[in-house]
Amino acid sequence: MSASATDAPNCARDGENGLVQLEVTDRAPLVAVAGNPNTGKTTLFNRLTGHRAKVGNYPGVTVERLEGRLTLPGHARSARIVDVPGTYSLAARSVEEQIALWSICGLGAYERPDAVVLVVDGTQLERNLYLVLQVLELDLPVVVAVNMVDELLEQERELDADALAQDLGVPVVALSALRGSGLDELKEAVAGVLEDPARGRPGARWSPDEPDASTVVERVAAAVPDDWCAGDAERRRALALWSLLSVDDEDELEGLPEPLRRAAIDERARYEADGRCLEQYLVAGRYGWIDAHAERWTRGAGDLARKVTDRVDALLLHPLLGFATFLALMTVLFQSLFRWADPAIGAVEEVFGALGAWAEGALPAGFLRDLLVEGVIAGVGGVIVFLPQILLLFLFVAIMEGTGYMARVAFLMDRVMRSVGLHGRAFVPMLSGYACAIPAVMATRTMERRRDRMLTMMVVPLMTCSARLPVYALLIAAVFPVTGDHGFEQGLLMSAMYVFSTLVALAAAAVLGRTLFKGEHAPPIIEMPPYRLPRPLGVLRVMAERSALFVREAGTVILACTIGMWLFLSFPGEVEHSPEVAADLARVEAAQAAGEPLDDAFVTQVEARADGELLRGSYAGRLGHAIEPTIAPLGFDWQIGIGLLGAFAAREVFVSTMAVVYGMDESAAEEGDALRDEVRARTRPDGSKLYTPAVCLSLMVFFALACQCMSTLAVVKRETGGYRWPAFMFVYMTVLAWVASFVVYQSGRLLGFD
Amino acid sequence: MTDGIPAPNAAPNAAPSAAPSPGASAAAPSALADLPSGSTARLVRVEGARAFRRRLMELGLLPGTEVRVVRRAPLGGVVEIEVRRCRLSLRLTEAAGLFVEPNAGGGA
Repeated sequence: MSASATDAPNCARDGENGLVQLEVTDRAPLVAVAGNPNTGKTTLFNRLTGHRAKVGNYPGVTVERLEGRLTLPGHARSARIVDVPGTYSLAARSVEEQIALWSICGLGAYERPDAVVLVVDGTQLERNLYLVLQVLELDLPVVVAVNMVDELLEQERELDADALAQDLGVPVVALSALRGSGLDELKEAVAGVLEDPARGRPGARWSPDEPDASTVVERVAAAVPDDWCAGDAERRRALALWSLLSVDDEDELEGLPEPLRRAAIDERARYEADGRCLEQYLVAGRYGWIDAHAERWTRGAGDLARKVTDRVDALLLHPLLGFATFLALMTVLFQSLFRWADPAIGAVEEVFGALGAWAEGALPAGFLRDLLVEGVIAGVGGVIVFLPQILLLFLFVAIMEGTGYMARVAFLMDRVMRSVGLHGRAFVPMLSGYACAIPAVMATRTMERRRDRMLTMMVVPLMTCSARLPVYALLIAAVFPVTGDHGFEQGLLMSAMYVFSTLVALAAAAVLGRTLFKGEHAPPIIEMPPYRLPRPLGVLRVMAERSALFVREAGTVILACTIGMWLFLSFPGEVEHSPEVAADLARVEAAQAAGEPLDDAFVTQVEARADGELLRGSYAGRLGHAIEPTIAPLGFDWQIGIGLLGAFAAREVFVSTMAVVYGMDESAAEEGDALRDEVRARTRPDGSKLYTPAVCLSLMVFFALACQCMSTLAVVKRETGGYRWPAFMFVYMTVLAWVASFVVYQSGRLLGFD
Repeated sequence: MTDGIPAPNAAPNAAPSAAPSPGASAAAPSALADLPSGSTARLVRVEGARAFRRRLMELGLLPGTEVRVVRRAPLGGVVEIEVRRCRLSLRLTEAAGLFVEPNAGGGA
């Protein structure tokens, strides 16, 4: 997929006249914005695009791509602007890391930008300029945007933009993305470079001068494909340098020609044969140039730097106070997801319930009405219902990221999380998983490396989410005898389920981290940015963006699944009613036709029994029968099988599905006691008790481990950009659940709990 | 430990630093991770797996660079260092590949 193809839909949406806009914008100049992480690149990007950037994905990888429009002063046309994932260097070992070079240089399917804006953190110029030097080597038109000059001033230092521009040989603009200063100057500089690219193409600031190294570079350069450098000898050398720093025998780069790979590995080995280190020579060369000029770029001693951060860190990373603060904050986060989101969730459910009831009354009975009420309205409600928790979690995440506290969480928790192979930052998603896996999966974005993100995503759904609680409550109540007070034991069993799920999730992380995600083990180096006040608008933006993405991309899948589930549970919709139900139905009908008064309770009860027969005769009921042989070893009959299938809509739906299966009135089931008594009384065909303690425990273990949630699968599909990972997740969790339930039920039987 | 970065001693073929290490003294270099919090030292050697070594160097951790140990994580395992005005947190197992010669002055 080419970059211009992904742009097209956005451009069409932006203009009043889609098609004409599309024609024009396809030829509009492309500006790429690159820079180190934590440089305020996203803030600047949003400022430049007037907060109208669109979030997309880089094709084939789980890296997000922002794109928007940039209006340039004195230009009739606006430019297209796209961001490049934050990186400290262009050198890469993985597909995700190589996006930086590929998109800056226009390799492969990427469109080559007409100008590159490099955002650098003015308070850390030296390190930021390493990336700038790499891009200058590529001989692409560059504008350097020095961000955070206000922070620099607070440190009693001052930028000499002219000196920096002179040394780099490109336009340099000092700005503060946070305050919005310097933006017009930046746009002017970009317009200038687009008009006269030579202004931003001074060539390499440093090139290898050691004879052996030069020879190596020339030899590797000869292997660089011609279409990568468009006849530019300077770019050819730069790509050779990139290969020498990136390629090794274990890298996961894609689209690299074999001759180039070989040349890089062989030539480097030749250079290093006598113990020298080529990478060190190359990296030190660039830093040598930076160090030689750095004094000219900023004035002032800068002793004030870090003063505030040091004081805050002394508290927040304190062995005792730091952990106390951390625990307090995490408690607030968890409580807000688990409890404070409840009123909002209840309100959403109520609104959609009322909407459904209204539609039911307003429309004539029939397929369309049922589709609308039980498929569409229920489905949309089922999507919106996640928003309170998503908004809340991303409120916290955006504040923690914006202030720099997230890096401290990783610092504090790394030891614990690492013991099972997880990143320190995985703590927040894992904790959120106790409330709901959907926002938790979305929060894995806070981790940069794909491996950390995927690993966390794969184990988060094992945490005991709140949707499992109604199921546990029903089954726990059924485990214990009717007589006596078993509140304490019941509470204990509930706690045990939490401990169990946590241990399984951590064990799964340890196993998956050592098997599936084994190859990718470059350990994380986390920058500890200075504390900053988050920008309220930025926080709101993150919340809105994440919610919109969820509704648009995961929501559509969830909606489709809800409709599918409804069809599955209510069709073919014609069953041969049992003689008793048929007789009762006929009685009700006759009485209604004659206008005779009827006992309401009786009518409800007859209808519930009829619904139960409908469900048992539906496709889901048939599938329940079909899967019975596979779930019988776990102690489940085909009716529980229907419940398991229904629970895909959401785990708590198991409870109401069982009520319908058992021919009970749904609203009566919600009261709890009626269904519990029914469950306790349920028997197998041979007259033995169905919900024995062994069966209840087996069923609880199954719910703890199985991936009984289509919304989780939908959101994983959205986050990973394909069906591969949700498919893997579903299979591994279901297999795990089956095996564990098998062990629980069979050993329970052997121990006489059946 | 799960990341499989070879310990410096276990990787005899890890290219030792060839660049001049300014002011290298005869004293044996020690691991950065062993320095007390708050102390400053000059890097003399960066060891470890190739990709990891490259990343450290690209962040400015080059032989000859001054590095400060800011603090250790309360639970251990991670160390925060300062290099070129920038703070990084590294796992101790990886910081073990950073060798320094302690400054006579000790502090900043």
